[in-house]
Amino acid sequence: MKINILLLFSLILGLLSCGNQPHKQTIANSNQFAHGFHIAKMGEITRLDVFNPWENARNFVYSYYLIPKSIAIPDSLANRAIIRTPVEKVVVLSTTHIGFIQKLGIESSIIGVSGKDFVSNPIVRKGIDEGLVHDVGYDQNLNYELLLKLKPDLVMAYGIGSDVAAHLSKMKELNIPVVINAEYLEETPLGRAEWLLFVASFYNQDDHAQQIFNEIVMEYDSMKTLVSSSNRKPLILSGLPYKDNWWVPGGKSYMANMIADAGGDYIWKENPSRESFVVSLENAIVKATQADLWINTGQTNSIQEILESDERFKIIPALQQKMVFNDNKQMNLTGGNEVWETGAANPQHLLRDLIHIFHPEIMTDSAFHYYQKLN
Amino acid sequence: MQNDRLISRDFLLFGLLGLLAILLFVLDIFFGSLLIPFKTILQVLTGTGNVNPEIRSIVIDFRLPKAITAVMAGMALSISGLQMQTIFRNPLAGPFVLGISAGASLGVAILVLGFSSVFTLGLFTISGSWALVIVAWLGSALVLFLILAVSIRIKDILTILILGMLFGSASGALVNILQYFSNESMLKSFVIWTMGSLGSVTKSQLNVLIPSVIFGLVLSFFSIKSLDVMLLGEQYAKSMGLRVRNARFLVFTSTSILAGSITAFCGPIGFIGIAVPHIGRLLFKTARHKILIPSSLLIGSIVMLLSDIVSQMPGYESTLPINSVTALVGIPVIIWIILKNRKFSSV
Amino acid sequence: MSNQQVNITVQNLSVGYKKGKSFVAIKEGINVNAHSGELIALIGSNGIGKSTLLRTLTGFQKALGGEILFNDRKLGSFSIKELARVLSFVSTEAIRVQNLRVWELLAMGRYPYTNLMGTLTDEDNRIIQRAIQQVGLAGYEDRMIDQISDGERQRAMIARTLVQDTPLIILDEPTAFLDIRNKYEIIHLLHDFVKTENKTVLFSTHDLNISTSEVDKIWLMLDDKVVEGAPEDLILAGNFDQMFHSDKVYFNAESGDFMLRKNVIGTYTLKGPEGRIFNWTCRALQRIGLVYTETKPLVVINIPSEEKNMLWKVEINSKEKLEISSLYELTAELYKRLSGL
Repeated sequence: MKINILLLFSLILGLLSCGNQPHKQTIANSNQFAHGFHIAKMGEITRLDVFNPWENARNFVYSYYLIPKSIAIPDSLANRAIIRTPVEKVVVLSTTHIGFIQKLGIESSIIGVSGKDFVSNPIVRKGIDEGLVHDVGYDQNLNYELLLKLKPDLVMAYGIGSDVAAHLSKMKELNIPVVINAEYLEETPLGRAEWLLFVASFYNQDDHAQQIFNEIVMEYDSMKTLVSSSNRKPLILSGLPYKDNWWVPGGKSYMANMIADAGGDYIWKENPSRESFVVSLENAIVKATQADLWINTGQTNSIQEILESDERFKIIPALQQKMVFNDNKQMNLTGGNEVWETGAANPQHLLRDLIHIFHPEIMTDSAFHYYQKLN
Repeated sequence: MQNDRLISRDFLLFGLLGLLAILLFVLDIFFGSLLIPFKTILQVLTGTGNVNPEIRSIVIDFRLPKAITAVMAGMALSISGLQMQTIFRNPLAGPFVLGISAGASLGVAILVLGFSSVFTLGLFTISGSWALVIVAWLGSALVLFLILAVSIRIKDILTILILGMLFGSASGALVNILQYFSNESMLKSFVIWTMGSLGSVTKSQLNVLIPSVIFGLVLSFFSIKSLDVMLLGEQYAKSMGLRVRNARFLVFTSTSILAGSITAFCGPIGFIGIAVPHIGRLLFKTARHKILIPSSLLIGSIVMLLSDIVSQMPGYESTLPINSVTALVGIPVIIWIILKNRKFSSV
Repeated sequence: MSNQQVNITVQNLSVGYKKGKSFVAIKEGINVNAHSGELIALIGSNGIGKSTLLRTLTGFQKALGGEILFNDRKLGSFSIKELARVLSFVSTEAIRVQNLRVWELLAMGRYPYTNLMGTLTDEDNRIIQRAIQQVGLAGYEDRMIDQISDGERQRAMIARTLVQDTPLIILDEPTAFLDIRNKYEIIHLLHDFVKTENKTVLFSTHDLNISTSEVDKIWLMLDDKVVEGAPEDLILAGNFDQMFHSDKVYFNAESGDFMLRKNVIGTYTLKGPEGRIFNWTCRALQRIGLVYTETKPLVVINIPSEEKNMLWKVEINSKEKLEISSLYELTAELYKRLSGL
């Protein structure tokens, strides 16, 4: 009797959730590295699937139908999420999206950003200064009126948790085409970069993008092979603590994979998390004293600043030996860091920097792109 | 007991509390997130044996200052809570009713949330811990100044209480505005600060914290007589010769220094200031501050050390924010007080 | 123990409160005195300004005009500490402090005399002990003040003023909310140490009976002035009548009571021996509005001659005859029959 009620209940729930997207679907994949999206070509129409676009999402799919502006919308797709291609006016809610668009050379298509202070791209900045590119605000105070006025062909959003669903439904109400980008959830550097193809499909620049991406893969893989021949793998510490706890990349995370590809040995590589996890100060210090190198130290620009945040870090040998590197070399005047903008789209630059740090003997003539050595 | 000399029961209680405090202090050093064998810790403390430098550093640079900070916080918050409860004749008053922690939060919010882009230029470091301390302290000092200015003109103590709470709310509203317009990482930094932290106080910071707390405590000792007589209300106190305005000044200043210093170095830590004085009243069954002040010092230390040990979650890789633990400890005590005090509204 | 004696002289005093930028005077031109060794009652109807006057005398409120002198020294010239050794005060505020013992409450009275830490000397202890005896609370030293009765707590508050050892004691309605026995006890207490220690004690009250029979002097607050004198002076001068505006209330000079004028419903006469039964039957009948007369009474009553199995024989209007066994029934029956007419 109990089981019957349970079944009935789940059936009702299942029926209710079927009515609107996202819906359950088997996960197919057209990509080499990225898990988060799938491109399916159906004649002139392209279907883009985005899977589990926020942390802890399970079995979610958002499907978007890219229909060229030149043809009519088939009746069968009348109620689906439709984007008319190629897009000409785009609003991006994350600076990472700018990085991808920059690779395709079409920054001029950007008419709106979220948080203009953090933008590094010079073309977009010029647009902002001239009033051609607008700031549409952050998550909780997204300026919907401005969005309506701008009439973009596409808004690229990203989700932190399921509250993004609120934005999505609002924008759907207003008939603003919006897609969720989830490149930051990829845990492999090349997987993240492959989202270039996702972005390119809105511009009908698939082939161009594929070509660029192939070059990136080649460059990345060749450096990776070069460094894998080295026997030495320095122990790497990453992150900067705040107060009693230290948030560090998980053992299966993007950063951990990048470190491994660059010929480094990540200190917490045994940790199973694909995202960040928290370590108490005591546990972290003990691990930290084993590290050869320390990278990604938050907002600091010098060893002195690290010590100012907590003088007890002086016992960390990597700091004593001044083997500390931070990825904030390219900071703009208003708080934007270029690594957040172009890093995802250019894993080869990051890899090169890291190899330069971990194995300076291999890359002798390299200059740092994103990283700087702290003094 | 027909006079104010302590009876033997009081001596016994003080003795037990003292022993408990010392015991918990030692345990707080022995227990931490990292499991370090007791023998090793003893070796570090006695300077013998061959111990890894990082283990030594953890014990000397991390756990010892943390335990001392816990004692300072426990004492400072309890005594300021006690003074507030007496002067406002309200058993639910605490160290922050004058808006002190709200002022400190506002200072920190302005620094962390308002100037985030300035920081990335390298002009300051927001993670620079002294910067945080200074702005937090400035924030509380500003509120203290407002309260003192108000208490000169306003006679009624209840009005001052309400004004203090309104200052606190106003600060809170400003903080909300700052939060609304900031991005995730800054927001997270600020939120983490509000959860309180005993472990990030370093030895050089203790060199400032300890004298501040001691100064605040000394001021409170000078208020023992005034506090006793204020139990009957300010009107009676005045009729018995108390200069009420001066007494208020001393109490407010002492409270602000105590609560403000702890908030500046550790972030706002709640519930201790409200709950601990009542535990003292319950154990010693007296309203006299000659006994309640020392008892609050000991009990405050005990509760704070205990909370710290719990928050370390020995054996787990992460720790709990101290505010959650003090809440879990303090709230049952406060509920119990409310239920017990249904008949009488006064301290 | 202080041997000081203090007289209060109030000259042309105006009392009131501040409203915005201006002042509102409640009473002006007050001229009264109190001498050492006197127990003075301050009487007046509600809202007339008794509390304001007391608060002005104790220095809690500023006078709007005129002078208050303690032994020819102006009140304003005393510092708070000096004043605390001269004047102590008991207010109407109920003290609700937990975990405070009677002894500790009294010890607070030594505040003006003790050192910074509030340490009590042997002398202080002796004074406290003596005060406890004087108010009859011996044995109550360790009792918590929130666990004793109202009367006992009031006595403890008064004991505190004794401990404070001031020549002048002012109390705001010390007998309010106490039962009749406690009321008298408090007044007797005050009277005692006025006489034995030559203190000056001023208290406000609504209890007219007690005041007129126990105090040395009354300050009577009327609408337009404040008069002072021995209780009997004021009664003879008819001052009490001016207290109320209603002609429904009048001051009965014989009994020393305020009484309600009744609607007269008839006349009566009593036959029987004088004594308790006679007196109380009169009172009962007066209460329902019957007036005594010798000539042509409406109601004639034969009162019982002894106090066992009492029976009143009633004849109304020479027609109806009743036999009633209690004054309750008597008053009920008579009222029922006569008030309708």
